[in-house]
Amino acid sequence: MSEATLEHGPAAPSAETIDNYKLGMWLYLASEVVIFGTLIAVYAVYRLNNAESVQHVQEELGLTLVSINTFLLLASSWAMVLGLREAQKDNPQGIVRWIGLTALLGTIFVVLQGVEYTELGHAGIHLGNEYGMRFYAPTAFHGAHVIIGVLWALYVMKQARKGVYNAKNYLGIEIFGLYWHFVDVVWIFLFTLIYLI
Amino acid sequence: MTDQQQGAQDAHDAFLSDTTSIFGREITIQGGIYTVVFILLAVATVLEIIIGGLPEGVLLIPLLLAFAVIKATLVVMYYMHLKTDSRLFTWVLILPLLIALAAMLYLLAAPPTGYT
Repeated sequence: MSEATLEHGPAAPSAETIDNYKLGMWLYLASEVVIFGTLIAVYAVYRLNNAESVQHVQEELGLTLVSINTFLLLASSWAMVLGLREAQKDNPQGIVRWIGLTALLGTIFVVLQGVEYTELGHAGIHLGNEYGMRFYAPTAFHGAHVIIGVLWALYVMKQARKGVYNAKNYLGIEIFGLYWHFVDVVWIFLFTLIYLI
Repeated sequence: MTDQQQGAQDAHDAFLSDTTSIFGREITIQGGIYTVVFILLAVATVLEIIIGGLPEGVLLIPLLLAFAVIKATLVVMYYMHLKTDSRLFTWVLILPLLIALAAMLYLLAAPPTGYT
């Protein structure tokens, strides 16, 4: 289905109107909540029963790289909503600028995660370790979501350049935004549970 | 226009405005409420990192979890627009969260060697 058919109707969506596309995305995110919830639960159980070894690994991990990544992802969410705002203001150039920034920040996040994984590999934390598999499963699954999000952002930029989005048709950006912010929310919990606690 | 529609329209306009109200004070900043939320998220993250470096105490984990919940709520309410969108979306999010939370609590309560 083309983006043009995702006509949003009035510029200000009514709270009484339930958009099927948005409901579909929320239902998809609901399934993601259960998947990430399970991965986090598996990590939390290991953390509870192996506090000392996890603490040792956390000292190995450090907080510098992951803190930078956290700020990058928060900033990308901010850029994302400002991109949506530009669509609502009928400014296609603004959409490209802010969604482009979202894609850039997401790309840097993935690159830094790659750097972190390399360092962890040198420190002996592999998928085969008891800790490694519980660490990599949620964080790499999340990283895969960021990569998909970056590709999606590039597609949104392409559509914006074509002039698909305007003050009356921005649902495509809004749905992408729901996905991207969800990825941000998951990282908020992963950062706290894996790196801080 | 019903009261609910008027409320949604007001919220929509508020998201587009560079002027927003926080703790009873009007602030004008590029990006409006979105930028204010980003600043709050950044400050909360800095506080989290500082608290995470403190020696472990009884309150440390609940405090860090509270920060994570507050940050996630800010993103969901303002960036994902649950504050103004249909309540149905809120329930679509809350129900799986409750299921995931129940599964997590069950797994945490189970002995490491399993039930015999």
